[in-house]
Amino acid sequence: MNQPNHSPSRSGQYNRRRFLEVLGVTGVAGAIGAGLYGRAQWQRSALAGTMMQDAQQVMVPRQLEELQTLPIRARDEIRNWFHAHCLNAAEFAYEVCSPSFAERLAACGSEQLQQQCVTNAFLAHVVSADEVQERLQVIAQELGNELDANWRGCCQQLSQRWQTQVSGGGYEESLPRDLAARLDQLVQRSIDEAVQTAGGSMAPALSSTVSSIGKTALLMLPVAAVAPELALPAFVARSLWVLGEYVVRLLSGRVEGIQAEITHRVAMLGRRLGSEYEAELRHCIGQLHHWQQEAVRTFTEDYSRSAVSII
Amino acid sequence: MFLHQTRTLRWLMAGVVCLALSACSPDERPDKTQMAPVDYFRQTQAHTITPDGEILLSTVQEVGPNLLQYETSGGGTYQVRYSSQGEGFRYYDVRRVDQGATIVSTPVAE
Repeated sequence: MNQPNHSPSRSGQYNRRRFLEVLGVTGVAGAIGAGLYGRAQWQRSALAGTMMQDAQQVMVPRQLEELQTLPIRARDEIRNWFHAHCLNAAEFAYEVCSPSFAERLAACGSEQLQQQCVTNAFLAHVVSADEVQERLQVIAQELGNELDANWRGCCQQLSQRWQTQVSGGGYEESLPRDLAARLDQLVQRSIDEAVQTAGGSMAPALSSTVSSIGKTALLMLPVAAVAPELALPAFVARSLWVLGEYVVRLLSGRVEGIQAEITHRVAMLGRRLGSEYEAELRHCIGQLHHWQQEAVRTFTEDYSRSAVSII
Repeated sequence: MFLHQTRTLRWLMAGVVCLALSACSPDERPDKTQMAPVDYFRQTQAHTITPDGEILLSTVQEVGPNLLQYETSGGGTYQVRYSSQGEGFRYYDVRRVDQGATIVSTPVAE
């Protein structure tokens, strides 16, 4: 009885053939799959690219307009807002230069109280750091609302073009980075400087002048003791000199000086805040636009993946 | 006290009082009841410096009820509302009118 020939050479030949057959089929299937996948990917990429180009036509003009108008508008709003405070500084200058204020100041027990008195007058008539911060918040809120409305409009326009729902939510970045902290310092420092300016230019209090006269009279006593007939004219002359100093200080245009100094500082603060805010807003809007571009890119990629199947 | 000293003292004191009176006047707040708001504005804002430069006083005019208009050395034309406050006025709602309508409505009128 003949045994079937199961020689290793025949078996190996068979296995090789089977292997090559399987490999061939797999290879062809793989190639077809890869081709289909590549074709789908290419079509997806083309679709996403077309959609992005389409989106750019809607987004870019809007973004350019936002960058060109909003930061400048914010700057001007801040400067205009400070304009009113500069006008009101005149009343502050009149108050701190009034004799009644000088007397009130002289009645303050310590320098700290005097400073507080000046500061209170400044806050009442000109501006406070809190008011500035509040105003900046209001402007940021207004601009934020406008940016939101623009973005919503952009999404609606794209939804209509593509006959689908483009959602624009999800931007979580807070717009100003460390702006609040930096501006806080700037505002506080500028206002302190303005108050200091006013504090250094106070009206000479009549009471302090009177006490100088009294001191003069006391200094004249030894002279009076020696030669009474000379004492009165000497005392009067000295007193007149002290009063003269008071008069000269009154005549030296303190109101105008204080008004010019204070308003100059407030105006400079307004200008600087406006410029800083403008630069910061430009940066923040740039970041927002970058996020919007990425959001639309992600949307078009997702859309193209669902719209173009492999087969 | 000698007679001539008393006379001298009187004259000197009178001189001092006159000087003091005349000296006080420049710092006195203009009396708003004696003048139009536009004149009060001209008198009190002569040395004001705004973020857009100094106010050109010759351009100040009343353009509506409680509404003043003026130009600045920076080239802007502004309108500002005012209300009476104490011995003076409170200014608010400054609006630049030569380039669009940028309205900023604070500080609030009291």
